[in-house]
Amino acid sequence: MNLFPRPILYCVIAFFFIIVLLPLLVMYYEAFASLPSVSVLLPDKRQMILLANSLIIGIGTTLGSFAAGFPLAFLISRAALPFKRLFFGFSFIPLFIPPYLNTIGWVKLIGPSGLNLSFNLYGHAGVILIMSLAYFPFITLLALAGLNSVDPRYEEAASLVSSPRKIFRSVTLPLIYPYLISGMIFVFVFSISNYSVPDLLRVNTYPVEIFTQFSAFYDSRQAALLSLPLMVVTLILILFQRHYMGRKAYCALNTQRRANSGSNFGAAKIPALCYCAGIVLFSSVIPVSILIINAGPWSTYLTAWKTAHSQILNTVFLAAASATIMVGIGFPLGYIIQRAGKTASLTVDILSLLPFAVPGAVLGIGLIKLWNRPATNFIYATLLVVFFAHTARFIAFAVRVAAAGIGRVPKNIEEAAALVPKNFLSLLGRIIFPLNKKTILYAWIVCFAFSAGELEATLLVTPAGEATLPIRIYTLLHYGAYKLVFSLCVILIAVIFLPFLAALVIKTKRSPAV
Amino acid sequence: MIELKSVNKSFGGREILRNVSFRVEKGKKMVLLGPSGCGKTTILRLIAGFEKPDTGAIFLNGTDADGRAPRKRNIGLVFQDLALWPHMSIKDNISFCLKDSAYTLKKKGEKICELLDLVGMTKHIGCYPAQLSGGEQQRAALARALASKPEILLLDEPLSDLDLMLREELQGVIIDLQKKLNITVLLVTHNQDEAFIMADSITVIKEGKVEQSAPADEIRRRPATEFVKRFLRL
Repeated sequence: MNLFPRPILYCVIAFFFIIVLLPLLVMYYEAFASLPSVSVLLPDKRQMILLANSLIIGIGTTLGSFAAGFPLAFLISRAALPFKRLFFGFSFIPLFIPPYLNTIGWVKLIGPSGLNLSFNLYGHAGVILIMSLAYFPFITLLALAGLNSVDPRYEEAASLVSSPRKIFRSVTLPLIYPYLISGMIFVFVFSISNYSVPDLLRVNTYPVEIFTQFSAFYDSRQAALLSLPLMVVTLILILFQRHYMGRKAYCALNTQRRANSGSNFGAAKIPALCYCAGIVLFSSVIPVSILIINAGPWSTYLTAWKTAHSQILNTVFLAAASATIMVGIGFPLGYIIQRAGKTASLTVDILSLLPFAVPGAVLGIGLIKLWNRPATNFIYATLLVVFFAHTARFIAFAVRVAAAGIGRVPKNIEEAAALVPKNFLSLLGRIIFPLNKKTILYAWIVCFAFSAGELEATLLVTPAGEATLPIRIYTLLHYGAYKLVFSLCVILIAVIFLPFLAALVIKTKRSPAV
Repeated sequence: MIELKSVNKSFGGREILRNVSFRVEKGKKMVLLGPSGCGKTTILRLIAGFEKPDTGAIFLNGTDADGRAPRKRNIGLVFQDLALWPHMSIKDNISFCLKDSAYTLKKKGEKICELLDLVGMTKHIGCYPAQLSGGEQQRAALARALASKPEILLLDEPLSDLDLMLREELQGVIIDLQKKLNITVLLVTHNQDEAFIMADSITVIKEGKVEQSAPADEIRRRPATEFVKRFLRL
């Protein structure tokens, strides 16, 4: 039973097709149509090195993120530790700080103008370290969703006959491993398609090479072909993930299930507490503090505003507009996934996951190929193309969050509404929206944050004379204007977290302490 | 009037209903009786229009319901777990189901009070579902189902979670309402005693097939199969 009328759903699907799928189809069609011979598709030595680099970074980051993220999730869910809510809140933060901002912070701290440590960030280890600290929340959030979904009675029943270690191994772990595998796949996919961190730390990976082929040589065919191995690996993993996760929720948005319970951990309590605090410090507190300290006094922010106010406003405007559209399109798609028949649900589910498989640079090339024509110059030569890029890159998040939220609303609550002789707008305003308003808000905030920090696709498609804050930061970084870069980084973080803070303030005001 | 003609329905290759046919006359009460998982709720969902039959036809008041949206079937439904909208007060739950064109604002208020009066819930008008007991929620769901002036009322095991005293009280409420409003009622239950108290006629289902469909007295006197006899403890 689907409350959305079919014409609306068809419009949403058409929009999704034009924004997300069409640029990729056009790009790959042109690449294959002009293929001189099939042998071009065979990987050469350089490509094998790229593949090795990408795999080392992908596997290393996945293991690093697991080591950081899973114990944190377990302690938040199962241990009676103080500051659990604080750790839970902080475990979200790194997900929304663009990894290139962390990189800038860590390079400053470890490099010659900072602590001048012997550890060399420029290389695979540096990329793995920084990306692990950026992407571990995928593991934490999914592991938490898994741990909180386990019926406490299963573990309680086992506790009558087994030790805690055996219960964890034999009962808890088998029940949550689809969530863990899913989290690891997310980390792997995001790390192998990340452009900014390897670029800043001078490691040549597929996304860096794709970007270079297009921006330096304008060789879109080579760029498209280079992206194929990445796309294939990512798609296989995403389908594998979908198979494992089915319609399970991808995140648990609270710690309530065990908020007042959990093991005492005895002597291990202090080390456990230190571990949680350490992860929070290294993943968000330290890099953000470095940026703030190095940005200097308030006057620097004033200079930054004077220099880059149009880019700041562009960023806010674009992020707000694309988040709104992403939610507007993503919500009905999430609805189809949860409420439509098996075939429609599966098709939309898989297609909506596709943007995860596409590196930002590849999407940027696709958008240029599609819209760089005289008839569509009003898109290509304006910020509309950037808006399209952001929407295409992150709409998958809106769909996932929406599907997870809609899945939590009992189906028959909507069926009861389907019997009421009212039009769709009435059902939307009185039933669908109020029942899902939290989901819609979460999805909007997540999309806003990702959109505000978007760099890869924006770098390629931004029209002359226009820019966003991430582009300005990246450009100034290459010119060596570090003071300004640090203050702009802090401003970008403030922009990203503004909606979070607003939502938190509203929530606090509405539910005063009892 | 409700009439099912040779209705079949499968989910994922599993046959849920096989050649189901029965008829409920206008203004009468029929009880669908059968063990858990025999397809009773699926029959209600087909009649409400949430699912489509694979083959066969459903007639509502003499016209084929095929392709008609749930909101155009003029049906009231009390779900097994009631499905009251949690974000609305009882007043709003009912108000939302009233046809806008039929009432002015003042008349809407009067109608809500009238419906709540019918089920003995007037003092709970401003409460939210979570603030009510199980029996009160049941009554509120009944009032909501009646708000759109349905010609057909479907009840999906509405009394299964209640204690015996409350169940008997609500059985009386439903019987009185049906008489007063003269609507066609189809009630699903797996409770044999409840079936005989509530029904003008009974349809016994086993594994998706109709074992017997007849007036309650006739079923009591002449059970058609061994299963009907055993299930009804006759």
